[in-house]
Amino acid sequence: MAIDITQFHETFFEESFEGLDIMESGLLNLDIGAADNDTVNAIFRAAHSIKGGSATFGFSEVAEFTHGMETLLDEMRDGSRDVTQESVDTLLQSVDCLREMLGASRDKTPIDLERAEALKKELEKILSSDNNSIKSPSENDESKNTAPASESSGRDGWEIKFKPYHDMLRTGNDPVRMFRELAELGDLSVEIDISQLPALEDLDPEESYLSWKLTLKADVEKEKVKEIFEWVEDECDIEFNELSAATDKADNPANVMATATTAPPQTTDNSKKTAAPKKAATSTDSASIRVSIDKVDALINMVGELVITQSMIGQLDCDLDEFDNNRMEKLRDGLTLLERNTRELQESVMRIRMLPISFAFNRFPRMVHDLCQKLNKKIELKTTGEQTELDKTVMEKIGDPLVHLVRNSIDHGIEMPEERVAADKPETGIIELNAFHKGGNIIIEIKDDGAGFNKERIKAKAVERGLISSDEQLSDEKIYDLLFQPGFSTAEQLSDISGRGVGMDVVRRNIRELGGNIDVSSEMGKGTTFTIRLPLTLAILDGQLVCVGSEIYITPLVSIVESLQIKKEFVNNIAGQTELYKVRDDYIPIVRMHNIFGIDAEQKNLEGGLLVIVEGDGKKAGLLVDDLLGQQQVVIKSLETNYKRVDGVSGATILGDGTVALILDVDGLIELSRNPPTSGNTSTNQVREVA
Amino acid sequence: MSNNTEENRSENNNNSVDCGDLLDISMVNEINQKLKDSLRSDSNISINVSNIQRIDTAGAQMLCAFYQDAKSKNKQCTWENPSDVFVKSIVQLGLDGHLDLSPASSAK
Repeated sequence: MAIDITQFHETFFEESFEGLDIMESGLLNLDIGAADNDTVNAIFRAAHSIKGGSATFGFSEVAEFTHGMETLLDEMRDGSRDVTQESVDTLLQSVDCLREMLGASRDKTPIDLERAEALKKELEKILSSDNNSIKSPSENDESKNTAPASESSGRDGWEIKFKPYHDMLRTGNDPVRMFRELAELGDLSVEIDISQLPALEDLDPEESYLSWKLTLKADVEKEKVKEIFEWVEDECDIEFNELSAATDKADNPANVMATATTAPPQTTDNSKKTAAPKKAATSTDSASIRVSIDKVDALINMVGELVITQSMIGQLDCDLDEFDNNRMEKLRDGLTLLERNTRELQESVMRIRMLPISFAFNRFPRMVHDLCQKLNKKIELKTTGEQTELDKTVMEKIGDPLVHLVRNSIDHGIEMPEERVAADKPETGIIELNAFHKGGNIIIEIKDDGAGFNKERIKAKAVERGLISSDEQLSDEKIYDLLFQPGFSTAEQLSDISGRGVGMDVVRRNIRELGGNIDVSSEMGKGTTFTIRLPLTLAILDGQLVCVGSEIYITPLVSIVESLQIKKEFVNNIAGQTELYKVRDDYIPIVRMHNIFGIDAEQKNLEGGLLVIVEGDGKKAGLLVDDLLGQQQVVIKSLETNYKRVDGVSGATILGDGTVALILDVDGLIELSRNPPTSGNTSTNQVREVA
Repeated sequence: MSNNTEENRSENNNNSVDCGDLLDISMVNEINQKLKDSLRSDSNISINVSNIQRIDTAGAQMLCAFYQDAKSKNKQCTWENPSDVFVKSIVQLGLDGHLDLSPASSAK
């Protein structure tokens, strides 16, 4: 059966994008002129793997482009080329280009070859730059872990005995490519042993039956040669012997051997490394997640516990006549254990979806670097809590809002260096990204020590836009809340970075869609902190069960402000239609749930009824319900997937007794109460139909 | 990657096996069967390697096993206009002697 190599593509792309992240963060951390060798090596290895993988999977444009980067990085790591700002910038741009090329290859869309070609020329220009910036080997630090190929040590070369194990070819490692790389180091002679090759009839064409003796005549370090085989070390027998007059038998081939000689390359294309990927895991999913072995082990452990508990309860499965108190006691114990196991199993499964927030934070060093260059600002980015874990879906959706907030901080928060100095602040501004868990939520702070918001200016803008009246007294919270109004911006000049007034409302909406919220605190001249609170996962919701007539609804706990019993004296009517309830200084519209959902409720009179005050999209409302039941975590089932979108309902869940309960969409419900559907509209009918 | 179709790989009347443009581990089982079938026939065999744009060790090894078998059965086997890539890869692996190919054999 033929191997479908495309099954490995997803893993290759996943690994390549991770490699690009490593390259990017490494390049950003390089000290110009005094680069840390470990960092350069890490960047080189990432480029090397991408090149190898792309060649293996036939993405030749990607492999070719990466080759130029790899060559430059190789010169940097062997110390023959200085790490300059120009080369780092070009490599960073190349990383971007490579990311796009890989994305296009993955999505099967055309690659922007023009950009790649331009960058290739830039890389070639750097590589061919004069010797002023190129160190001679003698200048190189002796501590470098690889010596340049040109360093003379009087070595004749290497004899390599290479016998792949039967399965090696199946892992995507190909001797053709390894030998090609080897030939680029010097004069290579290849002797092949086909004595183990069976007749075609008995051949498994995916297995390897060949072995080689390779003679490389070149004055290169053993490490350089070994590196070419580093991906197959566990998949072959290999032996490296330094060539001397005694061992050099290249001119004396054995009977079973055929000899081929390949000349060193004539071109400047001098890739020095093998191009073979690591063993790739089978993955055909469009989205996948990497899970640590610890998490999988915990899961397996929990399943084991569950099986034991099941067997414990299974032992009680006997004649009911014999079911005495003793067995009842055991059954109770078993059920308690089952409950605990189920909860722990659920937690373990949920942990599988959890990823460290560093996945979202990793893009920011580059962004800060680029924008600082563009704006001539000096900013240091500090991150803490990168290992704080967050659900993968939440992570994917929080990326854009975070980018917007950080860009805002860079563009409008942090002042220009001279302004900072004049304000008696350090020239370099600081942006901090902090993540931590708090009370079942994840908190992300975006903190800057910039200019802070000018409250008076926000108010003036709000008055100008007619959002508030000029004599309105607003708390700080309300003033900052204005920032999230659609189209609101205090930026005097629009830039292509931020300040168009498009975004902060979207930021808050996106965060709220995730079941979270965002707060701002700011002090003029000192800085601003945006605090985002997010649920750990979107799959499970902490809910309050409420009863309306014979139906049970789930209200997200995060939306509930308080619950109270209605007193008639606090109820007001406006124009005989809208009912408002006075809660302290606020007047909150009452939403009669039974009217919205068309249910025959027990509690139709407001007096003595229960009002659940909820908040959504900055607006509060009081939901009139018959009864408050318990609070519990519910597993969210999508209505849209299983049925269709229903206004006022965000999903459904199955309760312990097997009945289906609808989860309220608080924002939608408030909207529905303000703008009730016209007669014949199906909101109520839809809900009835679902219920 | 490969533009091959089942048709252009199929064996034709004069016992020719077309290796298409891609002969790597993902294709070897398919071509292997055609090679085995060709060995069972009485006629001489012509292997079309003129379009090969990529060949890996698995592909080269299979052709070597086939060629050795053909020789042992006294069948005449010819390489049709070997592509440059094909010849280079065979030489790189040191198999050119076993396939009676020389570095100069590539398609003109």
